[in-house]
Amino acid sequence: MGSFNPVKQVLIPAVAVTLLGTAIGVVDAFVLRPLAVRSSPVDVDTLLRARSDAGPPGGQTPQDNADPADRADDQGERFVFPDPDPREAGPESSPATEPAAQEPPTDTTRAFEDTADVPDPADAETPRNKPNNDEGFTFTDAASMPEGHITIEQAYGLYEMGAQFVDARRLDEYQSGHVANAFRIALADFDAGRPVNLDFMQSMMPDLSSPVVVYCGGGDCDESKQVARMLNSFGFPNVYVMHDGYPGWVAAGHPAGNDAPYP
Amino acid sequence: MNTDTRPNTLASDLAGVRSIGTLAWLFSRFAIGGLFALAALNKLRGPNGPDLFYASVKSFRAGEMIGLESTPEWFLRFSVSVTPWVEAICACALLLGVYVRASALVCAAWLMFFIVLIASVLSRGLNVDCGCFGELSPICGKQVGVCNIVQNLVMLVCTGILVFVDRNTLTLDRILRLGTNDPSLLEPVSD
Repeated sequence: MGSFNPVKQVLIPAVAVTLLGTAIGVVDAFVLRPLAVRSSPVDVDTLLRARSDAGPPGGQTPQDNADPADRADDQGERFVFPDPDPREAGPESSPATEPAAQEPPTDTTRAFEDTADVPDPADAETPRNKPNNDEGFTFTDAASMPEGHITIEQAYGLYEMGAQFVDARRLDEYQSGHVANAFRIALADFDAGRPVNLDFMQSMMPDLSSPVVVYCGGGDCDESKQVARMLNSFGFPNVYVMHDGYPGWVAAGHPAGNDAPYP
Repeated sequence: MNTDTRPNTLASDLAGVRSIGTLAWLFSRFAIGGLFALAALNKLRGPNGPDLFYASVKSFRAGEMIGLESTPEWFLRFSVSVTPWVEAICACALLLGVYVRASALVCAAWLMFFIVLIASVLSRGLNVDCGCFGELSPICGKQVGVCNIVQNLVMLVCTGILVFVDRNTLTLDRILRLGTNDPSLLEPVSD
């Protein structure tokens, strides 16, 4: 009868089991399934094309929608915020931080309803239509982006669809300027469980599968990817990361604001 | 010490099941193996399984246990990646009966860590989801509570049985002649 050797028969196999699990886990997580944005949201171009194919109400062509002045007629297809609109309760944009010419529409739905306040779309000098790219911002090519990341223009397409935007940057950065109507949900907000702003944002969405765009400072910033992952984990399947972040959004001249109704 | 000197046949295995010790050992093996398999599968492949588990682990704020303000991101990623795979391998080993004692020892270590972690979460008054079985809650509620500690203690007792009671009943070990300590079990069956 052989003697029982605990080291050889238990400890060494136990270490082997642990090391094998560790090795597979590391390969799985960091090689096979990078932890960027793990879920595969609906292809954003498919989403945007579907909207274009459906066509706006009133016989407008998709091209008509490109004109901001026409968007006021496009309300039937856009998500309408529930009444009372809590965003109206928030403070208005601070005039101290941005010139009036760059004041963006502050509500996705009503962004272009009041045409009196909307810059003339024919005016090529309005920041809304002319990319503010004087500082030489280099937009990232879509082909070089990781899965789940989208370009500024794709993000703007989703913005026009009424997608929710989530700002993952610091509070002071958010307060100094953010995508119009974006919620601020930072990674640290998930430390205590479900962030309050997440409930607020969800209440504004028709359903959980509505597109959500997360952004941070662009470039190497990682917060948007982490927040996107957290949103995935809370049941939002179609979360996209705006790759070029807020600097890209501003450089493209898209609606931005510094009102902070949901800090 | 293995005292089982019965011939290496399935019939002898089944005959040995009549003893209470072997029954307890078999129950422990399949219960722990099954629960670990369920936990691993839900963390790896369930709807949003990995993300849910990540969210749960993050909300545990394990870093506070050692005085850190927040849990390091690398630790979160590492533990979320590795835990389900170690669970899966241990589950496979237990269910198939390969290196049962070694796998049970790893499970016991894991369970002790979970018990400490959950006790710490409860002592800090955190209200978090367990994420132990992904979106499922087969035994306790979704929220971390005393039930999870009791559940893990019961599972720890089962792993203790597997570690300290040496059996080879219905194991692949016996077939593959791995991890046995009795040469008589290695002899070919001769009728």
